[in-house]
Amino acid sequence: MNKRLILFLGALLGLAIILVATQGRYPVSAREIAHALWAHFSGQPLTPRSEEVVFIFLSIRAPRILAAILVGASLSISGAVYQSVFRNPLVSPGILGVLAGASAGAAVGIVIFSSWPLTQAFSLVGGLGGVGLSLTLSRLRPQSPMLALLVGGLVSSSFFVALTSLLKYVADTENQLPELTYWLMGTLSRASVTQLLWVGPLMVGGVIYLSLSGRVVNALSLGDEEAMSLGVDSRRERLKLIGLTTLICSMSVVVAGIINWVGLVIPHVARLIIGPNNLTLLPVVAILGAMFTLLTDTLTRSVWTAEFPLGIITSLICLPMFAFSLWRDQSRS
Amino acid sequence: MIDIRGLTFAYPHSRPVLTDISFHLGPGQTLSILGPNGCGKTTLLKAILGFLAVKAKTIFLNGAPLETHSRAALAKLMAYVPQANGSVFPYLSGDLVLMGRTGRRKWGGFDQADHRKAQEALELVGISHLAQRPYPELSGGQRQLVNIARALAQDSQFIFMDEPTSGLDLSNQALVLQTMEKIHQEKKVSFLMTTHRPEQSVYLGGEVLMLKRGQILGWGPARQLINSAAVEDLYSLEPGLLNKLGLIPACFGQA
Repeated sequence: MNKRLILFLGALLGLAIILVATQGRYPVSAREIAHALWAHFSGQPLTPRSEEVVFIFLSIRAPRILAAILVGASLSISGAVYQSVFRNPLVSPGILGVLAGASAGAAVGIVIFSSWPLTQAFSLVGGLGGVGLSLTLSRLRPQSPMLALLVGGLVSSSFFVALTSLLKYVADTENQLPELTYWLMGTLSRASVTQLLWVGPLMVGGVIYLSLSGRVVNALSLGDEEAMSLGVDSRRERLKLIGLTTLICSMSVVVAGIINWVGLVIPHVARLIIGPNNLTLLPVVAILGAMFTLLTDTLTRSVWTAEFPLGIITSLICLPMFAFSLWRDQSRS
Repeated sequence: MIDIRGLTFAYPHSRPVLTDISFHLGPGQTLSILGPNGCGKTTLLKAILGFLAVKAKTIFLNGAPLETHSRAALAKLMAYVPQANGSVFPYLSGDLVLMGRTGRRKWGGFDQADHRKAQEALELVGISHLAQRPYPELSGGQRQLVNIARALAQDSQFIFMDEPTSGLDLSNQALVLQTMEKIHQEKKVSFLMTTHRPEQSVYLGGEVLMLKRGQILGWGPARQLINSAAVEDLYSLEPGLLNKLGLIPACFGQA
């Protein structure tokens, strides 16, 4: 594991957080935030300006920063793990139907039950359903497993998108439909402390566990028989990893809706930079994914007068990045 | 010690591939499983490695049934060299060799001892200079040496090889066989390999298990058992055909 590189990227992420905390409609410097927070937590009297800074930071910017980091890290590390475990560099949470399944599940929670715990539970069930359907469909054509998995994912995504559309059709047009539509475009604007208290610990735990699973993920990427011969219980480990990645992807859907491409492109870009060894790749992918989502989200809320949905902007940015990584990969081989 | 007692195995909805197989292999011994295509060589190899669901108490490893060993315990006992490495990612050769240490630890990365073992394996196989080269960029022979080095880094008692010279040209076949012989002599590691080349079994010496249609046709010292008549019988050839075609290697014994 390349510890220096990981520490360096961790420091860069720290700098990005400081930079992002100062960006937005309300101008505030890093020094001002630090002073206001110090005064707030040490019980010193606050000026009206400091009170505003504390409120904006703790209620608006910090949850959003944390949500961007968790969503970006979860989606990108899940993409890298899926690619290795399924031995297919073209899969991602979006392509495998996980995001579409989790969205359909969450939409059921929002539209039918209007309950936060049920939204989370249905999102997880939907995510597992999405990846389960992709895998089942891919088994129908075992002669070309890579292609079959991609087609299985496509069909699975379409099925769950259709389910979500059905829910949008029956949703209340005054409140539920606009909320559902905007959320499905991918946005962090609804990230809140309460929401993060629900999903944050699971996502943090999942990302840390996966970051430390490089040894097993490497073995699984060689195929079942080689992994078993290396001492890995491939069936149990694969199930564990698929369950965990699907869980954190579903939680990211609960927080931010559908953010496509991040789970596909960030692992590819990271492999171009540091190679495919998952011992280093997985923590690096998590940090790069967090940084990418954080900076892109800042772009969506700072550059234009209106805020654009994050999912749209990540897709627009990731497409040329993916084309570039494919081109570089091709030129190397 | 590997002890096989009356092993019969069939894939679902199929006829038995292996029927009543019994033999044993002690530490430091070498065994070639010889036979025509489809005779069950690879199935036997995979059954012993624990890749297949076989009947309980038919395979014993160091006195205990196969099914009582954990995956990590099996990895300490047996390493596997496949016909081709299955990775779709361009791992560095050195990283692949280090993966031989996977089963030694439960969590995190590799420690100094793991790196030392991997380096020793690379040096013994003579491919230290390839450690920083991506595996897909190597020639077929070099790739097979990387796979052997990974098995060696695993530090197991037995190394299982599935047709280790399959698809290699003559010079790479010789390189792989010489490397196996060197490892056997220096490390006293046991090799269990499948092959359909009788002369390779004779070259490596040790024992040979001749398989025909899933049954044992002969089991014993390779240099005594392999001769033109035995090979003609094994491969269902017309008697005297090998002699007529001039295909009897000098290393074959007299019938």
